[in-house]
Amino acid sequence: MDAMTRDMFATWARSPRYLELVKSTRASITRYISGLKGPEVNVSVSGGKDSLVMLDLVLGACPGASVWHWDYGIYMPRAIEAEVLAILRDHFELGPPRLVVDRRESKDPRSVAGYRAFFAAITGHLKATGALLNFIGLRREESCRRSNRAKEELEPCKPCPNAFPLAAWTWKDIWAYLVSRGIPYPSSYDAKGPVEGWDTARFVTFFDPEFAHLGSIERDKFLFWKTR
Amino acid sequence: MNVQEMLQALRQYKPEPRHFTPCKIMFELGSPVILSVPWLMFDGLIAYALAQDILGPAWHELDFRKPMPIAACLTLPLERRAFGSDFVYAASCSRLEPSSSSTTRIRKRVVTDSLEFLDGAPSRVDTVRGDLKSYDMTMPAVSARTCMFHAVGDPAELNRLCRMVDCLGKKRALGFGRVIGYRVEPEDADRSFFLDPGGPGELVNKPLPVAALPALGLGGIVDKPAAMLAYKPPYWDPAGMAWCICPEGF
Repeated sequence: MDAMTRDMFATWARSPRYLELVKSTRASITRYISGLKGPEVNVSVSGGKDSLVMLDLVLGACPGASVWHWDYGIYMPRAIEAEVLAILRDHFELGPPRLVVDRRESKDPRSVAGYRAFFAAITGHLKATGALLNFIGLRREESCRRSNRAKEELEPCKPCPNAFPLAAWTWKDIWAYLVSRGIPYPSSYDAKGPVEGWDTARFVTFFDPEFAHLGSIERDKFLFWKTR
Repeated sequence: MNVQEMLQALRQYKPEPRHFTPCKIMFELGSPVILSVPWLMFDGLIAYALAQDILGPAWHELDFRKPMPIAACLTLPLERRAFGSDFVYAASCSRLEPSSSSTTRIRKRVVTDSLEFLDGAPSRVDTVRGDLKSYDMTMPAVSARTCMFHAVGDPAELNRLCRMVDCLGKKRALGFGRVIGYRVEPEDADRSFFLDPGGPGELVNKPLPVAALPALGLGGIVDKPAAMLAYKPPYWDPAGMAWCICPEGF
């Protein structure tokens, strides 16, 4: 991230609107986890900017929470996956057994089973740990579908409810939080941000045919040609 | 012209190696270029122009769903540097200057008007999924004034072939990568492999196969970053990819 962009987000991090948002989000998280013990709270982390902010906020309120990370296997370059694991290990001081990493095992790019395995894996993890609440860093601003899903910050779900305390956050709030608190993020953002814009740069799978109709493969070939 | 006749015509083209000399090719651009990797390859561009020139109207009869070994049948008017039974052309990748990358949005939608008049037309067109899905693609576009290449080849022949290049990169039919002028000029040094040969800012100027480095006398760069890349035309063919030293400066 260049110095000017960093300064812009640092300035936003001092604005009253942002400070009020962080305060109210912390209050919501504290309310959600009241009466729950550490391992009963789970945070689902992809490694993207939203989930890292989510993780930092939840661990601040509930240091003993368990963390689940999904590795997209063949659709996530190993170098970038290693960066995510390093952030979780070094910055958040997470490791087994609190940190559980599940992985897409299918090596067939056409296999949808590899993608659907995600849902089975998170459900299995929540059941196995006996989690009573699962935090997800989902924001309404991201898409209409997510906006509809996160109308309420608590989503009744099996085996346990999902909480979306970042639902009202904007991309500026997310970056302001990361910059002001010095939280490291995957380097793919530094490649995408200046080209796509910091508002639209997202952490998703790479070279994934599921998103070919959105041009993701073309962008990845251009920006991440070394990891092709 | 059938396929065999086309391939025969391509094989008959023979450039004159004694005319080969280092040269610089500069295209002036009139619109942003859409690229699939951050560079274009000059030998790929010349192979495209030469095949179109040789085949003439038959070029438009090619069935692009059944690719032909066009590049394998062509001998380009560029110097070949051999390693084992293979070779690389002395032709660099592009340097776009001054360049600024951004994204542009392209919509691809199947034309559904009058479909009922076609034989075997679907009774219902689903534009959300399947073969007739609409695409809303965000693609990388590079805005630049010039696109520079370096090569060792026949300047007169390169000049003739470059005249046929009116657009560069992808999505040319939509107006991207428009060429508004070009120049082919002789150079004092060969910059096809290295941008500033022997200088302090010596940059690798094209993908160089790691296996070719000893034969090409380039063992000194073996420690530079490498990736799976194509090093000669056809660049679209995944079968032509090998472990290559990456072009630098991208």
